[in-house]
Amino acid sequence: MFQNVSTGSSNSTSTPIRAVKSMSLGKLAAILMVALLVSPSLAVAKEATGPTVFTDDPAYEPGEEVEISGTAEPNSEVNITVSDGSDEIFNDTVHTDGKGEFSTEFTLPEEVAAGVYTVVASVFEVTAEASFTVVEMDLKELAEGLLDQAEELKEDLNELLVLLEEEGVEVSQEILDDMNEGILAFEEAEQLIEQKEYGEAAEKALEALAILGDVFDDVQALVPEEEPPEEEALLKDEEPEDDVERGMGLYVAIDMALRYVDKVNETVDRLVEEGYEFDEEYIRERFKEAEDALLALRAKLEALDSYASIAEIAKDLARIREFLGETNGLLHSTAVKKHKLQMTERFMEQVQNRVRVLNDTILKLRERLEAEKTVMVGNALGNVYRKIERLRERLSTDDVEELLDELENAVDEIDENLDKLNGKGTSTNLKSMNVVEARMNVLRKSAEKLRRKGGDTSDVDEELEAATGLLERMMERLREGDSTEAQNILDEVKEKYEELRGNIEPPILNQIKEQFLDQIQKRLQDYTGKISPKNTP
Amino acid sequence: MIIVLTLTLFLAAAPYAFGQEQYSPRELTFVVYQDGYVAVDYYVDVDPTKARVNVTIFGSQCLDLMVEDQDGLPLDSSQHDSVLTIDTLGSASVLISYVTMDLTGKSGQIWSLMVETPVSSVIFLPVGVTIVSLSTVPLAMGSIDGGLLITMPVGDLLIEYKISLVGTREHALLVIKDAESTIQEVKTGGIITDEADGLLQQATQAFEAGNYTGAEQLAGQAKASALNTKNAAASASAAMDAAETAITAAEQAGRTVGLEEAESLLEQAEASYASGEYAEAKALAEQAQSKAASAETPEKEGLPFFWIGIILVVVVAGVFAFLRMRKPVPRAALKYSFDLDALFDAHPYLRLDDKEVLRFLADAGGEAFAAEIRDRFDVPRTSLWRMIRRLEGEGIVDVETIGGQSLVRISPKYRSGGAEA
Repeated sequence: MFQNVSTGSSNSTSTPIRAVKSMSLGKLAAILMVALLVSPSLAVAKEATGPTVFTDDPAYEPGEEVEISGTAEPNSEVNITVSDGSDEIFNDTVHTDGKGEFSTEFTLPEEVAAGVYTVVASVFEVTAEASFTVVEMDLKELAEGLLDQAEELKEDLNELLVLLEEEGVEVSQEILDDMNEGILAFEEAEQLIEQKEYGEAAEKALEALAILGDVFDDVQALVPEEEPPEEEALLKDEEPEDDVERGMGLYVAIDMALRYVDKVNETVDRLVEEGYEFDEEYIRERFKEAEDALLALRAKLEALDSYASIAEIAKDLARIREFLGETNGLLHSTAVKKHKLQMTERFMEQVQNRVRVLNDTILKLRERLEAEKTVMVGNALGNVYRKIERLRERLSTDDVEELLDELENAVDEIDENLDKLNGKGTSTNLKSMNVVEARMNVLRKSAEKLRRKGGDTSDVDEELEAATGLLERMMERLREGDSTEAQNILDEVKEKYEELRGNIEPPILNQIKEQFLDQIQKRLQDYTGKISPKNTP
Repeated sequence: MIIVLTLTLFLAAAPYAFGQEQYSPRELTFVVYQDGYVAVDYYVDVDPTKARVNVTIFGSQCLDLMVEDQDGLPLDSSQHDSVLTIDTLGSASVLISYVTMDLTGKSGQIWSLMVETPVSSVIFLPVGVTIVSLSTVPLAMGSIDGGLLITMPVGDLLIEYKISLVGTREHALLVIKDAESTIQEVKTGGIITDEADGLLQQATQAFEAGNYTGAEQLAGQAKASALNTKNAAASASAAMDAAETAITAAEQAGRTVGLEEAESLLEQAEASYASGEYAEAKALAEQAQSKAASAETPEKEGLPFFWIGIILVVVVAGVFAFLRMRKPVPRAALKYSFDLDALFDAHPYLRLDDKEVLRFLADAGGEAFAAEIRDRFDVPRTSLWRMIRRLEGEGIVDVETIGGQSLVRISPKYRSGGAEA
C-alpha cells in the first residue's frame, strides 16, 4: 500500500528524491498526505478516461527507432517522456486526433545505456506507462540465444515424457495442453526470428521458457522415485546428504577457497608495492601452503584408486579454511593495520585541507550569505579543524579504531554546517563541489601512481587542470549569485571527471577487474577443460 | 492515523535517500556455483569526503568478504545484516566481493537466483545450466566454455535454471565413488555382488577412456544392481526365516508328514543363497514354507490315505538314507592352532557371536561344517549364513562346498603354528 502511494506521487511530481531533499519536513508530510488522499481517485481516473501508450517493440538495439503510439481524449495534448529512472532520453508533446489517437517516434542514441526504459504518457496528472528494453548486444543473437535455451528445455521435456510413457505413467491432459502452449510460443518465436522481429521474438522465447519451465516442474513431479530415469534425475532422487551432491559441493568449496587465496595474494602484492613493511615471506609461505593443501585435497577428491571419504575431505577443508583465516588475520594485524593508519592520517589531512578551502570559499561568498550564519558556520568549521587536529595528535598513541567514530562525527559536522548556509542552492552546490574536488584528488593520486610506474599521464594532468579551472569559474558564478549556471558548470566538471576516470582507470582499476575476469575464466576453464568437448557414450 | 502512516512513509524513505548520497553502484557481478553459492563482486562509487560509508549488499550471510579501494588496497568493514559499514577514509570507489548462499533457492530440480539489483548485473551460470525462466529480457547473453553469461537490467532479478551435471568429469567420478561405496557396504553384509562388480569395472574403464557420460550410466547401474541384490538377498533371507519358523511350528505341532520335503527345500534354498542366487533361494524358501504349512499330523490320516502314507514312509526313509549318506565326510586329520587374539585385534568390530563361532572353529582345528556350527549354537540357519558371509567378506573365513555341505574354515593366514597330527 505504501508503495502504491509513493508511486502515485512520483507520477505527478517529476523528480521525487530531489524534491524531497530540498523540502522541509512539514511540507513533505503535507504533500505525502495529499498524495495519500488523492491517489485512490487517481487510480479511478486512470481506469475511466486515462491515456494508453505502447511501443512498437519490447526490445531495441542502440541506434534503432522507437515508435510510440497510444490513445487519450480526442484533440488533447499528451506529454511523453522516456527515461530509465535516472536519465530522460526523450521528451515530446503530441496532440491526439479526432479519434483520440497519437503517435511519435525517436531514434535511440548509439551510446544509450542498456537497460529498461519507461515511456510515460501524461495528460495533466493522469498517466499511462509502457516499458521497453535497450539491449547491449545484437538483438538477433540475443533472441536466438533465448530460443536455444527454450529448445534445450523442450528437448529435455520430450525425453522425460517418452520416459514416463515407457514407465506407464499417465500425464494429465492439463500438462499436455500446457506443453502444447509452450511449444506454440516456441514456434511463434521461431517465426518472429524469421520475420526479423527480433525484439518480439526475444519476448516470445521468454514466454515459451516460462511455460515450458512450469511444465517441466509438473512433469518432473511425476517421475517415479525408485529408478532415476534420466541421468540428471540422479541428484534429485537421492537424499540431500547424498555423497554425490556433497562431493560436488566440496569441489565448489575448494574452488572458492582457491579463488580467495588468489585474491588475498594479489592484495599482498599491492601492499608490498605500497611499501608497507611486514613479514611478507612468511605470509606468502602460509598462503602457498594453503594453496598446495587445497590442490592436494582436490586431487584426493578426484583420485579413483584411493577411496577417500567425503566427510574426511570436508574436515580437511575446514582445517585449511581455519589456517587461511589465521593467515589472513596475521596479514590484517600487520600490513593492513599499517595501511589503515596511513590512510587515516592522509584522510585527516585531506579533511583539514577541505575545511580550509571551504572556509575561504564561504568568506568569498559572504555577500551572498547571511552575515550571522556565515560567522556561525565559519566558527563551526574552525572547530572541526581543531577537532581533527587533536585527533591527528592522538594517532601516534591511540588505536585508530577508537578515533574513527570521532572522525566520522567531525566529518559529518562539516556537511551539517554547510546545510545551515542559506542562499539559493549555495549549500548544495558547495557540498557537491566538495565531493567533486575530493574525487579529483583521488584521481590526481591515481595519476601520480601511474606516473611513478612510468605511465604517460600528460593528457590526464591537462584535463585535471581544466577541471580545476572550471571549478574556479563555478565559484565566480556562485559569487555572482548565479547558482543555476554554477550548477551547470558543476555538471560539466562531473562529466569531465567521468571521462578522466575512464582514462585513468584502465591501468589501475581495470587491471583489478581484468584479473578478476581472468580468474573466472581460468576457473571455468579448469572446470570445463576436463569436460569439453562434452563426452558422449 | 494518516499522520502515523505519513511518518512511517517518511522514515522508510529517509535511509534510502541517505544511502543514495553516500554511494552509487557502478557494476555488479554474480558468479553462480553448482551448489547454489554465489560469488558477488560489487563495485560502487562512494563519497570521498566521508570516513565511513554504509553500503547495502545482497544477502546477509557472507563468506570470504573482501573490500578494496580504487587502487585494490584493503579496507576495513563491519557487517550488520545486509548493511556493510566500510571505513572508506577518503576512497572514491570500492570493490566488495564475497560469497553467499542467500541469493539462490531450489525447488525440486529447479534452482532460482533472486535478488533486487540497483544497477544492471552480469551473471555467470555454471556449466550444464539450462535456463527455465527469466524475469525480463536480458540486456545481453553469451557463453564462456559451456557456462552462460547473462546481463540483466536494474530491478528485481529472477532467473530460474536447472543444472545437468551429467557429462562432467567431476560428477562421473563422484557417481563412480558413490557406487563403489554402496557396493562395498552391501558386500560387508555378506552378499555376493558379482553383477554390480562387473558393471563398476566397466564404469571405471569408461571413465579412464574419457567417456564420462557412459561411466556415469554404468556406475549408476552398478549401484542399482548392488541395491537390488541387497533387496533380493534380504527378501530371500526373510523367506528362509519364515520357512524355518514354519518348519519349527510344524515340528512342535507334530505335523511331520511332508515336513522332510520342506526341510530339503530349505536346504536347497540355503545353498542357492550361499552361491548368490537370491531369487532362487527365495522361491525355494517360499516353497519350503508352504510345504511346512501344509504338513500334516500322522494321526489324522484316514484309511483312504493309507497308500499315500506308505509312499510317504518310503520317501521319508529315502530322504533319511540320503541325508545319512550326506553326513559329514571324515575330514583330513590335520589340525591347526590359531592366533585368535591377533585375529580379534585385526578385526576389532567383530560381534560376540562371531568370536564365539571363531573360537568353536579354532577348537575344532580350524574348520567345521555349517550344520555343526548350527547344532552347536542353535542359531537359525539364515542368521548363521549371514554371519558366515560376513566373516567371509572380511576375509576371516573361507567357505568350501564338500558333498553338498558347506565347510567353514578359518583363513590360513591366521594359523599360528604348523600342523598337528
